[in-house]
This record gives sequence, C-alpha cells and structure tokens, in this order.
Amino acid sequence: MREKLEILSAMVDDELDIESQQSLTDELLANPAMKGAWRRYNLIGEVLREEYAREPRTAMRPQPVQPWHHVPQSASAAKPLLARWMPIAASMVLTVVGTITVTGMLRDARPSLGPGEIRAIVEQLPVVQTPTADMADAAASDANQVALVRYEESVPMEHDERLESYIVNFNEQRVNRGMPGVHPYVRIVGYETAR
Amino acid sequence: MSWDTHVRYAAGIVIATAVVTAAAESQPQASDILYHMAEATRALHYTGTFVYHRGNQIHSLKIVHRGEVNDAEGSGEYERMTSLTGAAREVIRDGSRVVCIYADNRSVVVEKSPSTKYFPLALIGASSGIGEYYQIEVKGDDRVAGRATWNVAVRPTADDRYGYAIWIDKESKLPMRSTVVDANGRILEEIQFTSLTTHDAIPDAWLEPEFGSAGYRWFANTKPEAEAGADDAAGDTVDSDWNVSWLPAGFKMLEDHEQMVSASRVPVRHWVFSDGLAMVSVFIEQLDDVKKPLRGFSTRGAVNALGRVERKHQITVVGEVPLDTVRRIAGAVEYRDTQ
Repeated sequence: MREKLEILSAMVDDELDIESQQSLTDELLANPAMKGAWRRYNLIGEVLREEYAREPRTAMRPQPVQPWHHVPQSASAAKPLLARWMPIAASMVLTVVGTITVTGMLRDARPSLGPGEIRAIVEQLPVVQTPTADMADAAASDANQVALVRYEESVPMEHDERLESYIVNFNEQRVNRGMPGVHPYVRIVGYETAR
Repeated sequence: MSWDTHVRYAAGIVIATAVVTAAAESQPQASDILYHMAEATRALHYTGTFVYHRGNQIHSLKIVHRGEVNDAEGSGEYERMTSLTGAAREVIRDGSRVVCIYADNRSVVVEKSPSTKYFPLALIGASSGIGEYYQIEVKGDDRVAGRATWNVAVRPTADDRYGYAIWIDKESKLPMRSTVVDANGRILEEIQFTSLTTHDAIPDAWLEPEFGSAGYRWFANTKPEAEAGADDAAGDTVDSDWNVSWLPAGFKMLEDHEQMVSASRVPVRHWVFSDGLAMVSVFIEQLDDVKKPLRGFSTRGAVNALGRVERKHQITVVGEVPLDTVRRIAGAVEYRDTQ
C-alpha cells in the first residue's frame, strides 16, 4: 500500500507517464482507500497552494538548518492552520471531486483555479459528488463547451467486442486513407491487454 | 600566384559547385518518396519480422503481404500479421474482409473491408493543403536493418495532431522504420523491421491462420447491406440530425454512411474525417436496453478512442490523433432536433 501511495503522490505531482496514470486510475476507482488518499493529497496540495499564495515571500526565504530531532515550527503551526481551513477545505474536496467528475479530467487532475476562485465556487455551487445526467446533457448541449466530457469518459475502457469492431472499421479506412508506412493493425496484434 | 593556378582554382570551384548541385538534385522530393512508398506497400509481395514499441511494451510481430494484382482477375491485397511475443493475436485481411483472432480473449472479430479503395497521399502536392498543417522534408540518409534508407519527417504545425518519421528503403521503397510522434517530438510508438524480404509470389499457405479458433466467440459482420436497409425501415437507423460542431483545422468529412458492424445488430452511422494524413472515425449507434454502453477511453499507441452516451445513442470516436483531440470531437457530436 505504501508503494501505491507513493505512486499516487507522483501522479498528483504530475510525474507519472500516461501509461502508469491510466493503470493507476483503474486502481484508484476500484480501491476506496486509495480514493481517500487521492482526495487527501489534493486537499493538502490545495491548502499548501493557498497558504503559499498568502505568504509567498516567507516561504521562499532560506531557513536555518535544524538538527534532525528538532520539531519544525510549521508542524506545530499545522494544527491551527488545518482547523482554520477545515470547513473550506472540506468543501474544496467536494468541489475538486465534483469538478474532476464533471470535466472528466481525473487522469491529470491538478486544479488550476486560484484560491479566490475556489472560494467563490464553493459559495456558489451546490455540493455535488456525482454528476446527474441532466447536468451532463445540459453541459454537452452548450456549444461553447465542446471539450466537456463526463467523468466516466475519462475511465479506461476494458476489452469490448464492439470497441474492437469500431477500431477494426477505423483501421480499414485508415489503411487506405491515412499516413502510409504506419500499419494500423499493429495496434490490435501488438496490444497487450494484461497489465 | 600564376595564371595556371588561377585556372586550376576556378575549375575546382566549378566542379565542386556542379557536384553539390547534382547531389542536391539527386535527393528526391519527400512527397515523391512517400508516394512511391505508399505504392510499394500496396503492390509488393513481402514477408518480414518487425518490432513494435509503444510505452513500456515491446512486441515482435511477423507480416506476410501479398500485393494487389492488377490483372484481369484483379485480386486485392492479402495480408497476415501475427504476434510472436505476448498475447497470441493475429489479423488476416483478404481484400474483402478482415479477421481478427484474439486468442487471449478467445474471440474472433470479422469485419468487411470497404469496397472502394483510395490511394493515400494522392493529395500531396502544392494544391493539397496538407502543407498548411504539416512540414514534410527529407531529413537525410540512414541505414536500417542493413539497408540504405531515406529518412522523411512529417511534422505537424499544431499540437492537435501527430507527426511521423519514416525510414524508407531506397531499393524496395518499403518502410523499414516508422515512428509516430507528438507535437513535442516525443515518440508514441515505433515500428522497426529486423528482417524484410520481397518475393515474386506469396503461396496461399503462407496466408493461412496460425492460431486455431475452435470454441472461440465469433463476432462476424456477415449481414448483407440489404438487411441493413430493412433495419432502417424498422426504425433502428440513426437519423441524420446528428452533427459535429468542431473539428481540428483542415479536417474534412470523407465518408458519411451507415454500415453494419460485427458486434451490433443495428446499422451504425460512420463518419470519416481527415486532413489528408491524420484520420478520425465517429460511430453513432442506437442503444437498446440489452446493450452495455461504451463509456471511457482507450489508448492503443497512437490511436485513441472515446465512448460516451447521449440520447440513447452510443457515440464513439476513434482517431490517430491526441486523446484531447478525440475528447473535443466527441464533445462536439450533438443532436440538433430539426422537427
């Protein structure tokens, strides 16, 4: 589990390649413990970003080297900080999850909203954990949001005969009309389903 | 310096200039090389073994290709591609159909090949418009598997499509190595021949399937097109009120037709879009209560697919373009009620 958490942390930091991200996303969705860890990491990231935005200069100032047993000031200060931010942070978690859910960006979910914007969204939006069909349909019908896809569309698909038949029909068009020299059927014959 | 020496220097400069000019002129145009490669891959009989590399996976595959014959019988291309490592898989194409054997999933998918053949890159040239979206150039000479090759680079001008680098055998004009790269030059997948032999003919036995398929689940598109028409009358057809409101610059619709596919009993609307090199298919299919919808994405090297459901229709986009482009196209497929 510790190793998984380290990998999860790497994903939060955008240090994983796309293959590993997809694999981890699978596990993330199936494992409630990992899902909780994901939320915590995002929460920590948000809180740190918020705090950094408030005190950028002090955060950048070089700190004196402390002995290894010394308890850093930031640790003792963490409790009041968390207590202060807990209500907003809890809302932020739900908002982040909701945002990820609606925009289908779980794979590379690093919220790019600023602290003020996050607070504004928290105040305006209802608490949403999963998008309703009406929400997604309404959003999809908005011509200005063509990039919007729902949460489930960011989940890797399993082997499916219908998907295979679509890919084969795509390949048949691709063979004659696409860039020559790149054989499209290598993606079927050379595709490893087992992970 | 004597007059004689001046003459010698001048002659030397003239000869050197002539040699350089001749060398420059002897290097064929990139579009010509790609054109001849496309012709060779379709017409030649060849067998070979190659390595396919994507992500952290490396597979060895074998290919047998019988070229298209332009005689009175006019037989089409035949091809068999078999995996030598990893999951046991095989694809056999005989000009009219394609059979995919998935031994790892114990299933077989049979689809029809389109009856109309198109020559790729036929549009390459000054008037094609491809030059607006790609920079195509001969990077130089190289060697692959002991053969002298030209290295041709195809670079996209935008990050909503991929680029290619292809090493083409100077003798046979067959591609010896090819890579698909993103706009930042990162290699997404690579194919490299380790052996390649051209033949005068390919015996039928070489095209027979290597893997048995007894006891496998078969998904075969054997339904005649006339039956597809009957389904239309029954109301299973996909109506024409579906549209796509966004496409990458330069993409045009090449096909809009209804067809049967192996894993479905109702006709599927199939749109084909291309900018001349990159290709995207959009499939729209009416769902019933039995059919499990496809939701999510799949990445196969440089091919991305994404499925979503809207108005009880399955919308699936498959393209040799970045996942973000596939996502945007999938999000732009919409229903416009004209009633």
